[in-house]
Amino acid sequence: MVKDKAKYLILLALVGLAVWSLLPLWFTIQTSFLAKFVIISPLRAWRHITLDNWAFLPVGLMLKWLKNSIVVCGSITILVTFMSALAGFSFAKYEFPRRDELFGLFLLAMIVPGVMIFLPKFLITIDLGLYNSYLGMIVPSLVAPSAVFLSRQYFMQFSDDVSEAARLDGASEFQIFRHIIVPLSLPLLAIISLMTFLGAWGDFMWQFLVTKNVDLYTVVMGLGMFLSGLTSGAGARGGGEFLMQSHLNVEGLQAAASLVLAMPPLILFVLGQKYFLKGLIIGSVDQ
Amino acid sequence: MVRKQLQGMIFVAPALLFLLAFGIFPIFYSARLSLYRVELLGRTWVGLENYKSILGPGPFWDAVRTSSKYLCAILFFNLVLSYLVALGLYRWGPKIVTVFQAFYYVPVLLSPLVTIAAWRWFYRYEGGGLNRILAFFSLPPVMWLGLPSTALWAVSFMILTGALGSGVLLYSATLGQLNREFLDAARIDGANELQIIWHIVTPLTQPMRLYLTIMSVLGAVQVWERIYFFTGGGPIGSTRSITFEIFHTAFNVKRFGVASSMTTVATVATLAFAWVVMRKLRLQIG
Repeated sequence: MVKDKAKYLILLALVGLAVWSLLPLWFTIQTSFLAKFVIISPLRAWRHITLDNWAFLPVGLMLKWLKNSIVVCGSITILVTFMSALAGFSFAKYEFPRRDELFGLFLLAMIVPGVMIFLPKFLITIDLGLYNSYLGMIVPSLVAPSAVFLSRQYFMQFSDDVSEAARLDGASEFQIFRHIIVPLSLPLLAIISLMTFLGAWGDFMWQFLVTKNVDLYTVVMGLGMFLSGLTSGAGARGGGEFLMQSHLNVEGLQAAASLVLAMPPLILFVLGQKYFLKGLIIGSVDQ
Repeated sequence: MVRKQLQGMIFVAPALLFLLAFGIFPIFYSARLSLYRVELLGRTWVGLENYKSILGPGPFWDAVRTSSKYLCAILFFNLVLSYLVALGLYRWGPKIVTVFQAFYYVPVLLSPLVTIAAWRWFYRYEGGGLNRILAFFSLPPVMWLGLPSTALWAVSFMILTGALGSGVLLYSATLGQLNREFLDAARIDGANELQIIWHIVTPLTQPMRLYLTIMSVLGAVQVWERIYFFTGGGPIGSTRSITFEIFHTAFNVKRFGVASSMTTVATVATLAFAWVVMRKLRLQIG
């Protein structure tokens, strides 16, 4: 009986932590439906519900951000998935000079992540003339050492029989990859693309550094504008004068915008949870 | 055979190209730039001057100290608390694990920007959640983000909302792979729960702990968005992480050479640290 009691105390603590984790999301939802910013208990909040904040959202602007995000994150995802599956396959199944040293470079880059070296990366991007362009947002983000690592781990488990058979039949190496390996590795491709997409979607820092025009803003950049522009009054870096209108409920708008823009990753996570968890685990333990 | 070798290299080439250009080359680029004073019109060679200026007491060391404080908080959450949570969930079985780990993971999925907004309301001076709680107990309100003594902890506490998620997830996965029969055998031999956890489960999860240690260090160095939107590095620079200090030195103070030397120091230090931990990891597994 004492044991049972301990078990329920543990459950209580677990629930408490879950509440704490979900609290920010809950407050965001609540604030987005209130006319005036106050932190009140949900029990009293429901009587003050209004849809004003949602009605005032700058739909045109947000659609544009969404378009930019889809172009940028979509390109990054497709290119990274393709390149790292190919590289991982090669590291796992081909012999070539200096193979292990080259793979070591990828491991090195896993330890020195892009955020840490943002400054030289930024200066190189400027030198290449990619500042303030789609290319500047996409090309420097194509470094994905962990995706290469993941796919190498995955392909190590493959047997060589099928590709040997195809090779004897005269298939080229790329044909083998395209027609035999790819269809067998859809879970891997799902993992890599999901993780890459989520990473790119939330990558505020890089997009903040390389974009100047509001026209190029992605979803996170737009959200950043909501967060800083509204409170500092400086209008952040250009864009929407309407944000300055004094009758708007600033916090409510921020909350509604955050919710809209936070939805895609949440939906993707729910849809791909199985793959996602698997990816995190292969990427960490089985070294 | 040669054809296959060549093909292997061709397959690696695209990923390698981008890795070299934007993952490896920047490290050397910043090492070179750190030896110059960079101005609008050009560069002047200054040798190790930049390093001398950052290695004494000053903003960079303050940032290192601040990052270490973030690290303490993150380590506690990533290693200790999430381990305890994962153990607790493990007792309740796989169904509970799936549901709860998704709950804990939500803050990681929300862009930090969304969480930042909510936490800012919570810490607000007027009408913020925390001050309302204080008012309920008739205590005077506190400017949580305005005082150097509280701002750091306010930021740390917010960082932690995400830290729990990945820790619980990874620990649960590791626990899920443990052999239950093995644990039952120990139980039959008369070991109590705490003994099992301390002498069997904890050593078995050691590789994961080391991995999470590396990830925590990287995380503590990299904290950026949250500081940018929360305190802007203030008050009096008390919340600047290493990455934020580099950002501040480069774009606000406009001393690219000095910022590059900071980048180089941070990179080398992280690599050295990771190397030590990984050696340990290999010893543990081997």
